[in-house]
Amino acid sequence: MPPRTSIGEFEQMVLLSTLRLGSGAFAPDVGRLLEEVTGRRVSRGALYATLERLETKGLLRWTLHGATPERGGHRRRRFEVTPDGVETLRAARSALTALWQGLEVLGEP
Amino acid sequence: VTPPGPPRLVARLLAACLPGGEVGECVAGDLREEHAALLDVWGRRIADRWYRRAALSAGLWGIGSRLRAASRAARWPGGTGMGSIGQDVHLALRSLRKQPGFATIVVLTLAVAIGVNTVIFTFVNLFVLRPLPFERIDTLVYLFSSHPERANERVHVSYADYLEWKRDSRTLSEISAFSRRTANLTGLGEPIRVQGAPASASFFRVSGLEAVEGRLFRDDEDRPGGEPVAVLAHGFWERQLGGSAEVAGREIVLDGVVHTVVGVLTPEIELGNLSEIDVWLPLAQLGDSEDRALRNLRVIARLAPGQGLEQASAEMATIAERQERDHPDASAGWGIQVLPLRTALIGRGAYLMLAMLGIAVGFVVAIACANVANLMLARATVRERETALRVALGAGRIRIVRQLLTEGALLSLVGGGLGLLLAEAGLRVIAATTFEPFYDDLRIDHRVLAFSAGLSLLAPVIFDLAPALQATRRDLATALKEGGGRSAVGARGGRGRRGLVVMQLALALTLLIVAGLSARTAIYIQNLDPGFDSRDVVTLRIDLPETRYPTPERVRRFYEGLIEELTRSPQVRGAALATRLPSLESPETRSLAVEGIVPDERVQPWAGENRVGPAFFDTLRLPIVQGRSLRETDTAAAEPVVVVSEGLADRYLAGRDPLGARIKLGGASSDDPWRTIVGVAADTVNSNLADPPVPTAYVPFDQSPARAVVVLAKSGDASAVARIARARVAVLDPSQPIYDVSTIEQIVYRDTDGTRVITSLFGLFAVVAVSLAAIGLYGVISYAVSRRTQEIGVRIALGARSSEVLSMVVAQGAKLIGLGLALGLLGGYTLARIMSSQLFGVSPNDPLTYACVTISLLVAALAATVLPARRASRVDPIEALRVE
Repeated sequence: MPPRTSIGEFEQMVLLSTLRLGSGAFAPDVGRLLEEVTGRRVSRGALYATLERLETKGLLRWTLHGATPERGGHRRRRFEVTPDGVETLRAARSALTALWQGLEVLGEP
Repeated sequence: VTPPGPPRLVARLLAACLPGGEVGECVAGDLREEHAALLDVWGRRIADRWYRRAALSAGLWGIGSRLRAASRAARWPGGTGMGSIGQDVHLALRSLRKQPGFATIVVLTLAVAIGVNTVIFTFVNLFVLRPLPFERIDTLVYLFSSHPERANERVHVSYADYLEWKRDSRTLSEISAFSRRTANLTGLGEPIRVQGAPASASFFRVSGLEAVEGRLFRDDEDRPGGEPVAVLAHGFWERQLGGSAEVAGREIVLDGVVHTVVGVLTPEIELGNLSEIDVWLPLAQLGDSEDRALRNLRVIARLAPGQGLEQASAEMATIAERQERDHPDASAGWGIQVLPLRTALIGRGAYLMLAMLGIAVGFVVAIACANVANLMLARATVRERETALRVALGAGRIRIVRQLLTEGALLSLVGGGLGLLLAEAGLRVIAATTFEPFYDDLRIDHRVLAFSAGLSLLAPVIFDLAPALQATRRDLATALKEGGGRSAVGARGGRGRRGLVVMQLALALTLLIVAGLSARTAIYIQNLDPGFDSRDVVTLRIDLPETRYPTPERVRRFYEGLIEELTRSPQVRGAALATRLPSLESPETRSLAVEGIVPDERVQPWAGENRVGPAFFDTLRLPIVQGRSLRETDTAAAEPVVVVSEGLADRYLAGRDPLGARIKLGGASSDDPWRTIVGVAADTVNSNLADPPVPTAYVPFDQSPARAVVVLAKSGDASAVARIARARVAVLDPSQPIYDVSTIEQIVYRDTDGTRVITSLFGLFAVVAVSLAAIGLYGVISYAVSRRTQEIGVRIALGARSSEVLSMVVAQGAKLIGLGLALGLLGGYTLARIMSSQLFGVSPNDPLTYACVTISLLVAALAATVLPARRASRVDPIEALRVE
């Protein structure tokens, strides 16, 4: 089935980090994982904007969890990739893979 | 102690930006959690910096997210189906992201403007707007004694006058008074010095203040011989007694007298220097003085129903006239001034300075807005074709104006947020570099926040609406035909921009002049020669309680022992007693009788009395210009003598040899003895710089001992002096505290707090103004250069030398600079005249100051012109002609 939504690179990275973190996918953890992997600072504004956008597209959803004292009594959201999200990621990867066909030599260091 | 958690103001701003509900709550929590994690590992500085950056970006996202949500809920007027606010924001963000330099400059300019505005507004807020804790404040008045010779002062009121006014006034429903005195508190550990305030029982009724524990004074306690009771200030109660609930009925010992605590006063009164007060005491038990010349009461009254300020002033004038007749000795020439309480608490100088600061800030904001408007105008011209295209494709005019306004609003909201942070930092600096507790009260409260928010929202309308409207009014065909940015609008806008730059330069120079003059004043005050040598003089204060030192003999013995001990010490090069610090404290004024002179009805001679030890003049190196100094032999048993200041001799003994003349303090009928003048000392500067030196009578301490003294010791080591004095006092009287140990230089530094803050603010504003004006000039010239690139290319191709191009462009700038400077000199001169009463040691038209600041602005302005001019002179003709 062709994907209904197309997603950008950062959106893909956010979705993948969320999948990777599984039950520990809270926003700060997603941010930190992205920073570790890319070696660059991730603007929190961009992160929340992307999370919001992915949610609007129906690729991501969240559930509320309890507060801790270091959060100043605020609750937190755990993110989860929806089946549509997983589907979209797959489609994006296969599109990329198809385009990479025969060009692997460029990808080598 | 810094609180845990992120910077509070930032957190609050973030919370205001984030969407409501669970999402906003979670994001705020996320950032807090990350801050806490960073705090553990990297410490506060790094964690805070991270938080500020994250909050800024998350906050921007939050604003966008809220606007998108709002636009989903309601359609924005003037748009077609696609015209939602969210889309406007989206477009605006995209367009700004394309020009990060432009956006940064605009945001920073606005941040500076809003930041300085917020700082000044906190001053206004504190002085003028903050509600004072008094009931129906518009019916409260402050009563002062006034004297034509002391026109710059509001003199307090004597106890006897207060009683008479209380008895006779009909326009005032109730009169109350309080005063200040210190007392030794014993019985709570170490003996300490507390600030007492004797107050009439009516004071609490007039002011409407209430007790938070127990009760306040009853009328039967506020009379001579009443029960010794005390009301504690809230702060003192918390500090000294841990805020314990069973305070009523406790006993405290003040100056050796047991007082029963009856209650605790509300903390609302703890404003400004009223917050120094520890204990309130019944006035009538202490205010026993019959001396009408001893004016030390603050008198506050409430107007009777139906009575106004004018009626009260008229009535008090009648009372003052009668008092002049009844007590010619003490009351001749004295009037009564009635002021609204709010006005009285602020003071005339403060109003003037606030007004000046307000004007200065207005200038900075005008310059900043002109810069932003300039940038916007330039951008509007560049975007003319884009706009015309959109109009041609069917975009409504409102739609386009809205789009531009959204961009402006975004920029100014970010600028406003940054400005608030800047203001907060500025206030911290002010609080950290000043001593007066007053400056700690400068805070960003809801009123200040509302002001800054309003300013941020208003700014884009001011600087954005005109260019936005202009952009849509254009004739489409012309705009589309022409090359971008060389149209009729460009030329019109160019004139407007040049006008703005002239205004900016003029305002900047005006500010520079004012700042320069206040800096000169501050330097003058700092280096002022007080008339004596204030270096290495350590002062400390002792106040012996009357209860344990009832006789002059015991007072004398105590101080004799102390001074001997200090003088003996190798670290001290001279020690003396005085009742007043010359120049730094207002004198204890007394009426004066001069033998052989019948006083004029209207002009009652007066003098400041200072009772000093024999070493006083030597310790302060205060020169004796005639006759002799005071000596050890001027004891109580010897002939009463006095040394007077030159000012006193000139004023009351003109044309006579002062030596041998006799004067009497307190007026002809007082109990004081006639004293023979044995010497004349040089004048010392008046603590109120606008007034001439106080005519002073230096009375030998031994002949008129005082319990409260200031000890002066010439020594480079303040702590050694304090140690020696403490050790000696502990031997003489272990229950006696000494207090206020400091050097004269420290006292001067503290006293000049206000001048320093004002001067630094003016200086800061001037620097900001000059930088902004230079940026504005740079922008206009380089814009003009970029528009003329082709023309310049042609000129160079035809053989113009680069130096000719350079001077052509510089000449263009020089015209603007010349006009701006001329207007600025005029503006500066006008403002300086207005503030001349606040200038000391420098005339309002001081040529050196004018020359220096004009030259420095000229240099900055020329630099801003030469940079783009050099770029013009290096234009490559081939490149330039290829542009189109």
